[in-house]
Amino acid sequence: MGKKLNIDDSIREKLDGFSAAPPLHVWDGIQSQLDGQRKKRRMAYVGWISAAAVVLLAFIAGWYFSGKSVVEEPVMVQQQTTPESNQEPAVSPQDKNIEIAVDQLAGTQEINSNEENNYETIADNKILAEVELPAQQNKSESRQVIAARPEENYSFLHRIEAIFTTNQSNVSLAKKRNETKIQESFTADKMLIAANLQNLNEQKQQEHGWIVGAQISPGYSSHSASHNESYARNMTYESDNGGSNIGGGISVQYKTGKRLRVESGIYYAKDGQKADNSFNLFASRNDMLYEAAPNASYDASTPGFSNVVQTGSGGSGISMNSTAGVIEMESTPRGANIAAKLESSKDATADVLYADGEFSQVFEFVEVPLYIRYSVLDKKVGIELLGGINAGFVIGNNAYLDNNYGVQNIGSTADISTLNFSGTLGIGLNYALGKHFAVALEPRLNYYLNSINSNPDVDYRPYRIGIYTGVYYEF
Amino acid sequence: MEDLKKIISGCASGKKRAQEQLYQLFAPKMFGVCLRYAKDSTEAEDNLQEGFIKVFQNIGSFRHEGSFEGWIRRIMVNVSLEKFRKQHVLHPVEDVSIYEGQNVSDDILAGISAKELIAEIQQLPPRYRMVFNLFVIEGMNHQEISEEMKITVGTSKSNLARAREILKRRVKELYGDIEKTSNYTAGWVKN
Repeated sequence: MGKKLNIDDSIREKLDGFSAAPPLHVWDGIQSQLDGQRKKRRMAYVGWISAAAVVLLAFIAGWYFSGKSVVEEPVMVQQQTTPESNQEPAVSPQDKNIEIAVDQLAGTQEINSNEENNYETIADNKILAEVELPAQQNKSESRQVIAARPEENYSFLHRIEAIFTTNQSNVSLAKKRNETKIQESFTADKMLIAANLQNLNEQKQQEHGWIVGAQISPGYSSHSASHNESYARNMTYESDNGGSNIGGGISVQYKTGKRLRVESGIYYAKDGQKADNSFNLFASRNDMLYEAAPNASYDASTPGFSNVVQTGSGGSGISMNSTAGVIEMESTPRGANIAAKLESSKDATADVLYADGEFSQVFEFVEVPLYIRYSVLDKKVGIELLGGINAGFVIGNNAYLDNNYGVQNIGSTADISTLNFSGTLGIGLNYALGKHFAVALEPRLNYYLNSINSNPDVDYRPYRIGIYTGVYYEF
Repeated sequence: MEDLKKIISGCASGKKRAQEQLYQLFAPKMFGVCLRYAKDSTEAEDNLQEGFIKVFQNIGSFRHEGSFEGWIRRIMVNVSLEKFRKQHVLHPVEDVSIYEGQNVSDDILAGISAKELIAEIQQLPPRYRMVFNLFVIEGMNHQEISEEMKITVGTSKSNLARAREILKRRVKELYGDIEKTSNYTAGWVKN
């Protein structure tokens, strides 16, 4: 027994401190595995952050719209988009569901096609890999080879298609293309050649290229505004801080790299604000009692409008301070009355205009954007971030009064600049339908960087949240 | 020691440089451990890689209380045992009560390099190899081994005895002749 222990001790002594330098590829394997885990974690973060951002945006949009649909009465003829605004909160969560479902579907499709088409080739590759490493020293490498192949193989059918279709001189080949033919040509050499060719094709296609798109955007517009005190004293009161509307346009993108794109195009958008300065809200009830003209339908419970106006100033019509600027009316609108404001002896031209109904101002813009898009995820389902500036040209500037006589165009807002600039931020979610087409859902925020009213008393900056929905075609 | 602490905390916060330093420090010794438990160097490399991934994943839970080398070594042994459990279903227990005692002198062993000895250990049947390593090198007793490997104490004992006998025979066959003339008598004298 003693002898046995002796041998054990000798062996232990010999082996305990034994060390041997492992081959270099072990460290490489460890590193690549750790990197893979890091990447996975990072991708998970990006995925969650993007998803959270989209949910947040959708929530904010939904919240605005739902709030609006309660307050708003369908009063403006021009704003035909009220029904859309009501649908909006319902639509966006549904869209999200569809996105998720489609995503899952896409995932399973990928797996299926892998298994069906490439089972044998994976096995081949495994054998090849093992032959290349006869000492069996690099299991991890061979595993990587096996792991990398299915991705290449998956798109093999697509690649064949792409080669044939891009090779336009070879029309007959494109016609002959069918599944069985491709199956027959499944030899390792052909695959490699096809893969190499396709890599070249794809590089050309992916690195640079053009994408055109068309979008329609139900949206919510509002503004931030400030005014100097003397202007604000006689200003209308906003009844509604924002409104729903519809915009849209076409876009052109140019790929400058794998992830970056520059975009321009032309978009139409509408913005406006309303004023229904009720007796209770702004002008004091006593004012009205003194100043009411005989025909005024004065009833504290009925929403009506009254505001100080200037008559005959500058030789024309009536002007009234509103949030977006001075509304200039050529004559007294139908259904409205003007009463002399007797107390304000300081200002001989000050009168009070009152009417049942609601005033509104509407501005229409044509915007030419310059955006940068960055692709966060470029798979079947893609995620993009976009940002940039727009040159916004005011093409419509009208003021309306909506009362018992219908919607009257009563004039326009003074001092509106024709050219303005706005900034845009957005997130794009797109889903590829085949090689060229993609559908997209892009919540965007557009904010005017300058006051669109050049009157120094008024600072009026519209902003707009739109859910841009559309299609893209990639050449 | 301070350096090692720094390296460990660097690894815990996922710093690549620290991971590389730690690997440089411990990989050769741990490769030695893995080689003893594996059937060949490829399996040892696999286990070393897997072990270090585990080390980096769990290094945040190391509390600087025991020896770090002991901790890392334990991980390597565990990975090797896990691999063994996955690969080898239990063999029927052999009765090894009658194994002829082999006389191998220390001097024969002294003349063999660690590398040669490891090569012989790798040739042992997997379970013998495991038990032999755990008992002789890690210093576990049969009770601990039986729990670790889910075998009976008796099996552990017989596996160890069998492993010893095989090793002795192999050593004697391969290296005994060379040493015979010069050391054989000395061996007898010693014993």
